Amino acid sequence: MTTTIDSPFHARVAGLAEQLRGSDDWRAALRLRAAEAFEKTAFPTTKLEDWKYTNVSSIAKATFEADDRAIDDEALEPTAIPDLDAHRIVFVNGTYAPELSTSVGQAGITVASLAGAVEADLQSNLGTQAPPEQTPFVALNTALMNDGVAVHVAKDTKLDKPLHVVFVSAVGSTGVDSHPRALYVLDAGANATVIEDYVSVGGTAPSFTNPVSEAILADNAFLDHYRLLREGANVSHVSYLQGHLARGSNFTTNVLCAGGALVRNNVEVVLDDESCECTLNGLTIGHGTQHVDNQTRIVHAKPHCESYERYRAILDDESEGVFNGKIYVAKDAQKTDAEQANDALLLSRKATMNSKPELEIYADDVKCTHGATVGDLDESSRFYMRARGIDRQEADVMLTMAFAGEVLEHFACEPIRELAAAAIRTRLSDR
Amino acid sequence: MPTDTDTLHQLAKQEYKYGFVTDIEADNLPPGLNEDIVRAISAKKGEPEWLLEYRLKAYRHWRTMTEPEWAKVDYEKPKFDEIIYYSAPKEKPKLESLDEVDPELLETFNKLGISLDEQKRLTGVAVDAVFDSVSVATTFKDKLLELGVIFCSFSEAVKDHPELVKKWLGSVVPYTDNFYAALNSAVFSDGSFCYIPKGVRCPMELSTYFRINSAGTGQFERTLIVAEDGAYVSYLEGCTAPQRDENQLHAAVVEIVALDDAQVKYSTVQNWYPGDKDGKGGIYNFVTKRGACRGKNSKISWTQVETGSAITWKYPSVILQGDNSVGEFYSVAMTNNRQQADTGTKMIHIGKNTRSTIVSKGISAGFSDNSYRGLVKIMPGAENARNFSQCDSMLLGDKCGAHTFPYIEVKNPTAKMEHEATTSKIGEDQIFYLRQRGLEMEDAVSMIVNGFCKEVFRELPMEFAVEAQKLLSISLEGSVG
Repeated sequence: MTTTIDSPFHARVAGLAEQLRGSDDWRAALRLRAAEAFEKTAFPTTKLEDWKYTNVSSIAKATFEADDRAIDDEALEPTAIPDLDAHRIVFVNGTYAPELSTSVGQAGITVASLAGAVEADLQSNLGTQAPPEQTPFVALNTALMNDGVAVHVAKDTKLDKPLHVVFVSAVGSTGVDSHPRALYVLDAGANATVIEDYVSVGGTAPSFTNPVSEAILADNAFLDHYRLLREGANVSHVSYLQGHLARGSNFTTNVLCAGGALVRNNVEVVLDDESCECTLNGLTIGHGTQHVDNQTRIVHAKPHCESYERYRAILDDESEGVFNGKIYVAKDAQKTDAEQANDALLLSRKATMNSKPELEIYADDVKCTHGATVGDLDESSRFYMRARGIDRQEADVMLTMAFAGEVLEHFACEPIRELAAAAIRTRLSDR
Repeated sequence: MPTDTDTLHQLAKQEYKYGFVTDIEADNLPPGLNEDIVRAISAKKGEPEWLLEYRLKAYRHWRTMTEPEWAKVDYEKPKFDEIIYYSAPKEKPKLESLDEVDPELLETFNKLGISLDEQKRLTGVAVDAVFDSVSVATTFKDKLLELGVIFCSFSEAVKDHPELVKKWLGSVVPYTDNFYAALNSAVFSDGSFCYIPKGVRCPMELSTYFRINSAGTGQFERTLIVAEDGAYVSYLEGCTAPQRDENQLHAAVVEIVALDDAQVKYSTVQNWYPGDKDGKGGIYNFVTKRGACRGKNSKISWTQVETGSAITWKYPSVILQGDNSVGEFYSVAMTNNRQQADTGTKMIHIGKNTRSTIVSKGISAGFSDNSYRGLVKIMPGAENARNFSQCDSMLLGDKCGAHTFPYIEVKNPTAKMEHEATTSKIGEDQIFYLRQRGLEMEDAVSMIVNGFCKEVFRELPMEFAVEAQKLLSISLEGSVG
């Protein structure tokens, strides 16, 4: 049984490993470890249970080139989020672009590119939550990582405005790949909102973004995290987000998938002490031949934690949605309260939804539920509206918005709610 | 005074009630598997050439396959070289009535409480008892034959109705389907064959009891049920096995075909030896069960109560091919001690207006692992398909696991698909309520669990519902503490 695919990345990673060997720098050591891990595992095929519905051979077989082109404010303008008042840090094809970024002058807050971050801080955290051995994509990211964002929020400090981290794929005539990294370290009682925003500008050559994010929350810390996927139809995207929660901390991640070609988001959150709360919200707006795969895994390692998960997908044209959510409740994680819901709306005859809501439970005093539905717009609701003089197009928009609203109302950041609503309206008006 | 927990632990340790070995001379082939063994099995049964060819094709294909590992079960792989693939009680020629059956054999059935003559006289259930691979007695055959219903052992069917067997064998589960189905296709020993002709409603519930007896014998049953246009049959399968220390492999294949307007209801109570409380011994139950609703308005319904076996790997499925066809799956799976069960169903919607219902209740206790794994697939042509799935798990104790792995694949927007699942422990307030009214702890638990499973039990035929509740009570005792 073939479970791996040969890829041009292999030669690239092997070459890199040669260069890194012998260096005594800790970063080089980490990258070498990753390169070796990648050489061992390579790319997964659909024969592997976790990749059953997502075929990454288009990424594995393509040749990408690192591209260090610069872009200006004007090029970035169309991707701006209306009414968003935030600090901004921009990376173009994985490289920090200081001229496009604003500086955060607040005491107790460090926002820097990996190159500019506090070395000791980085060394003790980077790769601890998402070790390169975890999956081939994390290994690839770690091996090829050139830059990324490092955020540190000190004890009892609240970031005054959301931090808008923009990762731009600037595509020319050849495909580019970038492997950005994000590290969020929140000390006890710290509070922050971070928006990871993935956009693309320029040409239409097939490109690839492979980000890895790690969030480490100390006691009672609070992090509201967003992942906005707004890349062009030429960009494939495979992301990893690994969260680690200490006692009483609260972590929310909101994923909006409105762009990209092949998209795969992996989220794993470990609730590693009592009284943690974790919320995963996701909204997918799929069209064309997009393939959007959301994999989530919530690990209830300790008692008295709560998790809430809601993922919804609106799928049009020939788009394909995948949801694989796992709630894992460890032995002794008593009094766990976990809810998971996955709903999909198929707007077209050729759209497909594959859903796998899983529960793996080893403790008895728990409350775990999951639910999944797939269907099209409710004919009787539509009739109700049309009987009251609302035309079909408008009725469909209202019903779809109501469907999306169940997730969007949990997005705390209003400009992002608006952004998502606008994306749905645009989508439906194209029909 | 012993506490409730103690009482329950006592009951949990209760030895397997049906653990005894009947001493009958068995006619065994040497252990191991190769083409000669396949030929020998076929020759012993006096099979026609085409069936031998089928077995050999299956055997050759099986050799190219590897054991599936995706299920959430952990066990020592069976050593296929050490299994005896054929074991038949020494033949007593010309069995014309029950009186001629080996009295020791009848005694075995009596111990199980399924005495043939009693069944025959009192319950009106026709029983085709499969005792270690060869059918020893068949009842009510004449009565069924009047209606044109064929209900006999698989070997008899091969002799008497080769055209039917040839037509339908492997039509639902091809020998290439999976590792264990291929193995079964190569070495199946015997089983049941059931054919309901056009427009006939089978007047009685057909029933087969399986037992695994000779030590170290694999049991490879083959069941084939064909319901012609407008036919109806309710089929019962019940299983108990005597206590043995080494693991025994059971790899059965059940195929059901329902043509236009036909209905088949298949009910199983499975209570094979689950191994002792440390997980030693017990049956490996790797079964492929599948029904095909080939015709319009046909219906196939699976009901299962799984309380036995050390390892269960079983997914009774329905292929909803005909328009307006209906598939149902009702399951109770109970695991205790070191048992592991990975069971569920597959509903493949192909035809228009096809409907399926899945109700699964999992109860885990002791150190066991209980998984529901199910697939609902709605193909592009399945206009207005409808599925409702409900999977509830109950955990009794904090050392066991309850898992749910539903796969949902929808390729048609007019389909309506709903899945819900819950996992919880047994309600303390419910126990308190019952205890406060003077019920013993184990009675209270038994009552609550039976209530939890009621939706499934009421789908069972009367004879089975009573047995199922009793089995469940025995299996779950000692699990609350």
